[in-house]
Amino acid sequence: MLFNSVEFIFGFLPVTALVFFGLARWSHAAAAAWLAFASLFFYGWWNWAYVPLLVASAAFNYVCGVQLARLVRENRTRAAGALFALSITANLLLLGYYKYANFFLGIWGSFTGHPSDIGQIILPLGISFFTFTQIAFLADVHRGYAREYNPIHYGLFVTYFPHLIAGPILHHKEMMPQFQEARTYRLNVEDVAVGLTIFFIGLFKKTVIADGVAPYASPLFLHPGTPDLLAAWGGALAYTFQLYFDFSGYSDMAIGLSRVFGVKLPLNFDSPYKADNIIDFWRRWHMTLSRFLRDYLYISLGGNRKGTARRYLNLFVTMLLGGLWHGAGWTFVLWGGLHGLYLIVNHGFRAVRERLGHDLNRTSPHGRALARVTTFVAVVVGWVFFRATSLDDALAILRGMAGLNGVSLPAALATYMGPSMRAVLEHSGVAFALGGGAHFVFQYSWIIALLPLVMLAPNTQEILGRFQPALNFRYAQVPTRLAWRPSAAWAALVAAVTACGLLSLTRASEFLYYQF
Amino acid sequence: MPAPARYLWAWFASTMALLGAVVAINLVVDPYGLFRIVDVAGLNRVKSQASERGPLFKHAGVERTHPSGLVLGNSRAEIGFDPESPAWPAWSRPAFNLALPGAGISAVAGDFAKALHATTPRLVIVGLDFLDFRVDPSSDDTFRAPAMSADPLPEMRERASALLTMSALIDSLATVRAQHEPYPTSLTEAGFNPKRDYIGVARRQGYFALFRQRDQENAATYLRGPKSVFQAGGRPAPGFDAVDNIIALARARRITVRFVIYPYHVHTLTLFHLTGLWPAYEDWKRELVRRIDAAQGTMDVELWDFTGFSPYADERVPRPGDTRTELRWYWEAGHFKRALGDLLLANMLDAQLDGERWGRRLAGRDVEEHLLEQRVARDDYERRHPEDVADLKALVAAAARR
Repeated sequence: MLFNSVEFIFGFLPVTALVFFGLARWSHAAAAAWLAFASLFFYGWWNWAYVPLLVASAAFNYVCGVQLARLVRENRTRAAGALFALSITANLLLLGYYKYANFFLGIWGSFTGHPSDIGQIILPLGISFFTFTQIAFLADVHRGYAREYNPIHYGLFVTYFPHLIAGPILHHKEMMPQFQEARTYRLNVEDVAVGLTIFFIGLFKKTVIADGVAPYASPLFLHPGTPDLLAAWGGALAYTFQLYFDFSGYSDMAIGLSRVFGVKLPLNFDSPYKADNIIDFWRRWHMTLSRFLRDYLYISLGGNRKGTARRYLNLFVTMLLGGLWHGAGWTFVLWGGLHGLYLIVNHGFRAVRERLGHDLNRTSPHGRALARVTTFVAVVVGWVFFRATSLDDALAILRGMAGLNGVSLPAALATYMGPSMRAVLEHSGVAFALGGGAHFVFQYSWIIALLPLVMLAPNTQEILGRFQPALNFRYAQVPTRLAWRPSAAWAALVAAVTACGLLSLTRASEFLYYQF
Repeated sequence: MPAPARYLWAWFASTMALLGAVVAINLVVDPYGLFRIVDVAGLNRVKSQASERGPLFKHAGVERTHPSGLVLGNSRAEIGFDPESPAWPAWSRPAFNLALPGAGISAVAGDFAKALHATTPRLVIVGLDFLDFRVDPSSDDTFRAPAMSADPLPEMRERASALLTMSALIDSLATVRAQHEPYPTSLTEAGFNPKRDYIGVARRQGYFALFRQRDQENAATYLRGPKSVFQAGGRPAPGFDAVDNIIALARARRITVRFVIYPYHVHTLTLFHLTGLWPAYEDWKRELVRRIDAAQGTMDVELWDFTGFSPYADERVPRPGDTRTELRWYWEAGHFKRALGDLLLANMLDAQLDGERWGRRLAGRDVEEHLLEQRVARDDYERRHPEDVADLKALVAAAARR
């Protein structure tokens, strides 16, 4: 079921919430069990065949976790290590089978000259997310960090519908205590007001902005051809904003939904296009994945403890695997590798500046603006690999972005220009291509409207900052007029946002991150 | 009441009020002509956005007007055949244009079946487009006859979406704005598309730009698309079964049918030749003739062919930058104008004509002779206009490079 669907907003959500708070007056365990059951129903709406897989995965990891905790408590280190290795391997095999089997068989086939595959495997929704969530749980148990093992709460932790399909990737230790607390089971009007406000802001981002700009991104990536400079940048930037508002909208909706139930999720998205450098970008984009990769992969590989060269190698490998996590394809691997290189360059540049005695915390406004623009351009180039369906397509688009295919404007626009303007443009090498200018005008109108929004405007968490919308959120005061409060004026503004979001539901589309 | 509770009530009430206002605006402006409660010049008379929901607008029009004459087909028919044309005989009036842009022949059969729920016309004009019948020779597709018991739910949902969606609201605002535009896009109440927006484009950019863009698109489409009308095992494309289906539906209700092969402009015909489509184009006509001949004697059905290198189809394209010359018969190589559509109707329906008789009824006995004549005319045209052919060849080469 999609968050941005009529059946979810007007059916699933109110029924689930009403029954949950009704049951909670009688039994917290029953309410938690209901929420887990409702979450399975939410998951099964897409395909019932994969519900047993989800249940089996949760049951297997729960049993492994409990046994692992016992071994750790009894200081049986070798047995604990073996069980830990076994359970992690089982999780990776499950993920590997569903997500990567044909990809690796394809590589094997190209080496051996005997192509083979095992037929089409439908990727179960959210498998990357619920597998990673549970790998983190097992790692925490192995390290002795996990404390609570209530089976109903564990089941709810894994299946909890606000995060099940596309994250955030949760930590056992940040969720289980919340399922224990009595306040979670009491209907809190402030939580409902804050939660619904965040949810509908997210809905607006998804249905109005992301789905609105999508038609100006897709044609370029479906049929790149030989795009000229403006067409290539127009499509790449449109996708840059589509992905941003799609994922940001989804993350807001997940956080808002959970807040209705009194449960706070970790922040997953923090205005990433305001990042001053790539290190900063990865602290803001898909934050819970970055946290997972850092804690369970980068540090496990040795982190920065084994010298500079090894640190850079670890970074690169971590990002390469992070790219592969997004999908079984070379373009994802390249995207991950590219970001690995970006991070190495970024860390190297910092090291050089430190050696030169520069204060990294002091940057001039011009320097910061330049850094932000450079980071943004680097991210856009990365998104071309991320979205393109093949390496050839990605390179064709990048050639266009580099200006190697020239510059052209729609001929229809030329008819609105004076002869001198047209002559100047033609003299500068600008060609006028046949066709209407509507697509071009709308595409660049979206881009011009959205660029300042992502670069300068406060984000949802900042606007609702006083109400602690998410875990791990660093509250920074925003101008008073933009700080949400439960007032009539904000009710009217959020109502407008809600109405726009609801009115755009007819073209319900999947979130881009559902494919990962 | 605590502030968050007051906030929630105010938010809920405001949301409902805004949604109610949107319904009211869409109901009054009625951008797709579904409700027809208010009809005010300067406010909503010109339905500039009707084509955004063309199927909804047109099927509602069929239900409302119960036409005796019906046009089916794709955008060529929507733009070319005016139900107000004097060529329609009295017994086929009122007529309605149910042709929809992008509709393949299978969709056309579906539109016909759906229309028959609302009305039983006496005459149906069905536009036939060769390009709809092309199939991959290795494919094994079948035509599925449209279900006659229509599920009302999708249509109800569609009507609701004409009231309560952002796209409907945007279309309402665009409709109001379009009332004072010189060349608004619009559909007439009878479903005809006068293509007023092309008048504006032609006057600003000239007909050359319109023709060139269409030729470029066609060159790429023809080059990349399949080049056969037969699939695996020599089975004819499913589109031919759609033609049979239209015949069967009409026969069961004693409806007169005139199938019409659109009058392709010489640029289009030349591109068929240059991209290797010509043999399939001939196969298509042969199979069409076979199918329609088979129905002779059981009903009133005819196949009319207006293709060829006639003076109409050979209308000369103005030079680049020429924004003054007006074309009489074509908007561009893909779409003929109402004037030519009127001639087609008059020829098929035996109406009074100012000009000469043109086009021919195709039947089994003379199809090979007709195909030979067309080949000769094509070669003659290509000899007489080497510069046009070279120009189109360059477009094909450019499309091949992309």
